Amino acid sequence: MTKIIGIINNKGGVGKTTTTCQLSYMLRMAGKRVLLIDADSQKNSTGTFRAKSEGEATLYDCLLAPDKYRVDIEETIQHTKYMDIIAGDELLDDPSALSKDLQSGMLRLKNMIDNSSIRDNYDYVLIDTHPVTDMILYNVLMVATDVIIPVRAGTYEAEGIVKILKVIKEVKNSQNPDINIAGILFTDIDDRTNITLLGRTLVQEIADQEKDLDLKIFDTYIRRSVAVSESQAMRVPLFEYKKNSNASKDYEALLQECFGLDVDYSNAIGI
Amino acid sequence: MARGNFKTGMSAMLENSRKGIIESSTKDTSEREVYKGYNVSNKSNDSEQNKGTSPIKERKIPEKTTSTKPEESASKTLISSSLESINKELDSKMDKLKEKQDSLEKALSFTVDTTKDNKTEKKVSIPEITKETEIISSPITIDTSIIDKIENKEPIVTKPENQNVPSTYNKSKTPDYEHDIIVGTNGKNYAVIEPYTNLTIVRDVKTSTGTTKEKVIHEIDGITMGRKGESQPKKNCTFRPECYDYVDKAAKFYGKKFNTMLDLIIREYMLNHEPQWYTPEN
Repeated sequence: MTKIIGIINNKGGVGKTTTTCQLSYMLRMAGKRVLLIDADSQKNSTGTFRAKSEGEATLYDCLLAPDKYRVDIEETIQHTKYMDIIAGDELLDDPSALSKDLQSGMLRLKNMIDNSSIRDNYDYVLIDTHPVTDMILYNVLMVATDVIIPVRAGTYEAEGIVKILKVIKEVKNSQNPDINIAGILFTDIDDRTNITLLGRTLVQEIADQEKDLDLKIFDTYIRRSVAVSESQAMRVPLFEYKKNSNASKDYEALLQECFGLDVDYSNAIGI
Repeated sequence: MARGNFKTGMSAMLENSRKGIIESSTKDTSEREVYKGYNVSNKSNDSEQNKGTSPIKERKIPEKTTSTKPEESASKTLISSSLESINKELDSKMDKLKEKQDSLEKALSFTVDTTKDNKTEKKVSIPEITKETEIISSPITIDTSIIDKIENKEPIVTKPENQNVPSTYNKSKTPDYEHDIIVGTNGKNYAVIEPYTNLTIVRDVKTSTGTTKEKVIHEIDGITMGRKGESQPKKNCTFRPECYDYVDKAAKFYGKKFNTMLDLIIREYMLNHEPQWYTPEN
């Protein structure tokens, strides 16, 4: 069964895109068939894997475009050397087209995927999201089988967790009762600071309180690494840029913890 | 997860953070209000049909929990020093604002002389221009050079040589140069945009199957193109990919965003409505 995983958090800068890119890349290295959907108007995942959003059909064209101009979701899949990608688009900033009919608007992505061969063609669909609670996020949550919530260890980030959990609960209690929170993933962790300890304590307390969601915090956490920023500057996947960085090793550990998979270096691209 | 032993002061920070989380967990989110708004508008159209259309169940507003107060003793020093610096900053900002307000009042002051033949005459007293008033009284400059640039360097609005409008455009008559905006491509392919037209801008995109499709880039409401206060029947027009490319090229040339460039063309046309806007193509 295809796993559709949304990487979500309505807080920006917590590592959603990095996590999406690294997990997608490593799932490919583990020999899995992966489709990455960039639902972020900043389209950084698209750029990282050399997909195009200019002159090519993007998620906007199948999700938000007026009926007359809308294309089939499979027509928007770009086949890059890394993996298959549905590119992000700046026009995703305005999802008001989905609000015209709330019911069908929220389920549009799910309906499109259900009516395509995506579930047959891919083992994993990873969806990168933007840090806004809007109709696009609801679309992602309606179709997702699992969500991963990256979070930095800080007070504001902990408050952000509370908000995103509210949204997930709404979805779980309505249209997508099977949605599973795979786990909360701490990113950009510097164990030397007390603030990190404080943030992690707060998130743990929140997780303890949300018993009905059965929240899990991944044992693996992503350590702060300058290689992450450097790889972004180079616009290449982190693992390709520096596979021995702390963050790369941590994502490798996450792959094992989250999916029970190991990377196969013979599948590596660009290293 | 290990909770560890916090250093002095960290306990207070933890307590304060907890308070923030409790507040955010009990406060209704603004996003939710947006969707409530849509529900309301739906109900006004057809209450039965739209009843319960929202997949998100009605949220029960949680009762406000009594938040525990942070231990004052531990955080008092930190808070008071923060407040002090914030107050100082506010005071300085208020002083600056007051200065600006005074300058503005001075700049906008005028006297009314009603003694002359019962006619009202406004005597505008021109304030002494200081560095400060100069900045305040002219915060926005209108860039008219762009029009000159358009006219001199690149024809944006073009009177096409061939006045027969291609059938592919949503227009079946000869352009009305008094009322239409003509955006041309080399004088041969062009689109006609009328005032009060709902404009849909499309451009070509490739799909993975190799076909080319049209993509909607921007939609402009016809009313926004009209003069303020006027209302006209809306018409529909599609701004075709070939013209998109033309304006896109011009936008890049002038360092403008596409929509800014197009809005500029439309706005200037609506403001001036003069023939010279149709730059002859030489």
